[in-house]
Amino acid sequence: MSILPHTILRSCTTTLRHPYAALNIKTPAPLSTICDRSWGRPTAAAAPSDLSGKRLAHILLAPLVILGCWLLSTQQAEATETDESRVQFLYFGHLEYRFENETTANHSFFSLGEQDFFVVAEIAPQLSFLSEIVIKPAAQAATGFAPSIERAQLRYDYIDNHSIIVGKFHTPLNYWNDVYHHGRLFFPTIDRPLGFSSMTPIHTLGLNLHGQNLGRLRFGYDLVMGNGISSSDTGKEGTSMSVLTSAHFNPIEGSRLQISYYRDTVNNNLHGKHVGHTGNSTYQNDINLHLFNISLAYFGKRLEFLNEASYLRTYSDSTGFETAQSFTNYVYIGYRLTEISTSYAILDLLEISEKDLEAKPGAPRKIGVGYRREFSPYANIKAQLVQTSPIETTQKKSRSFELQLSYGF
Amino acid sequence: MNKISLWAILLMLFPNMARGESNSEELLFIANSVPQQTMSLQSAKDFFLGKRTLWPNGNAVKIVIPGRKYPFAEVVARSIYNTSPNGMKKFWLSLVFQGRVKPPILLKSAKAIIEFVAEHEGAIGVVPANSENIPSELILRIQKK
Repeated sequence: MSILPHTILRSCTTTLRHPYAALNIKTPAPLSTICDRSWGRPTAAAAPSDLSGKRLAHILLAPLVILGCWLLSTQQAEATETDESRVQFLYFGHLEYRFENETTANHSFFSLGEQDFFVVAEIAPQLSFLSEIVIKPAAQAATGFAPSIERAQLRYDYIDNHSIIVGKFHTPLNYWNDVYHHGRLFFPTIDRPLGFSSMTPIHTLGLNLHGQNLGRLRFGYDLVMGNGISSSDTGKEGTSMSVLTSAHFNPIEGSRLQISYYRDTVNNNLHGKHVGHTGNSTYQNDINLHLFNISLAYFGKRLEFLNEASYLRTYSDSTGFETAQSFTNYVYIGYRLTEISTSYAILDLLEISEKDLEAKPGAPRKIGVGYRREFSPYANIKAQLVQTSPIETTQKKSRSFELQLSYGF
Repeated sequence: MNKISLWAILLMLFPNMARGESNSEELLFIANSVPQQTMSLQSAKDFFLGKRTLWPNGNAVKIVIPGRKYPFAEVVARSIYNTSPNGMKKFWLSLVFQGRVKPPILLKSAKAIIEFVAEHEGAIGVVPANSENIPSELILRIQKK
């Protein structure tokens, strides 16, 4: 274990001496040669944009495309290090523009999204480390941004495709959280499913027994024990632990069927920061929580499909409260027009029961269409037209036109 | 809708249904200190698709593939990953981000790939079939169907 600080120190020294080489980034090529290729071809501005109008979209798209051109010019170099220990630094992030049409007012703005510093290191033949530190929007922070340790995990591969993972990791509850999480570059759409805002415990700090690609059906499993929803990254009250069991199969290439069950007791109905959503603060006793999930994904040459369905059951041991049942279902269907462009549609439903004491009751809906275009493996742009019904039933529906430039290299 | 139209739509949506094994005769698989020097083509491909983390003898799998500057990357991307070199890069970026696999080693010539595999136990690489100066003990034999 003492190898790690040494490895990081050595990498930092390399970074100071050869910043491009250490980051695995080539010195950018002349911008003009790259830009010619993008400007001459249709971009996401041609996607549906009847809310903002062609001119508005054109003007607002320009800075994003310029940045895209620059990103296109930063390409990964071949790894040349042949030492036994290898460290790789990656960077992921995104920028957005939104035009929102609400009943009382319109809003038009750019926003800087999460900026993700990703490190993966091989510290022994069967032991690897992965860290993800994200600087992300935080309303309460003076600068509007705050750092967060999103992942810090050690993985030991002990036999075949079985491993033990300890630390803070993405709860392998559903396909989206396991495969994409912060990686906007890999998201098929601009946003996460609505269930992430009130139902999905996105992080776990604990232990995971993990297996993958076992047998003909490519069976995989995760058995997780962790601190649970009410904990912080530094500890928790009480002795109860969250438990997750998850199994997935990949019967055909590009597909995945996942079934999982998550169980936790939310102490005093407190929600730690890393769970990813706030709770219903009106009730402050322990709540028992059972969450079931089924994910079905297929990402083929032409057709892309993802369905995430979750059922949440919560109850309190206190008398006078009934068991609450809530559900969510997210459907994404995409069709690849070419290797680098995809059109898609989404339908996202969330229904939190009025009896639910753990999450804020409501029934938001989201429906939308979009277009995704890849500049390179390291950058893409998405344009999306969305209609959203808010969680508060008293509020009216809103429509928005969204653009997102996501990158990772 | 007649049967022909139905099949046409299915083939458009699921093109893999109509695709047979890609021609992999131009590839030569090499590996160092591995317990199985003979394997099926699909088993060999599985290593390069990140589906194996350890060899049966406990050695960690180290994947070596052609990098951006090596034109052979096009052949590897098409034959093993069934995509373009960019698609292959995206595939690996996604897998590494998920934390499922260790990043592959990208090298810019057959000579560099052969040298790396020869020096590292558990390393598996792919080079053009007509490559020269390959130690015979490194060559993986691919079973014919």
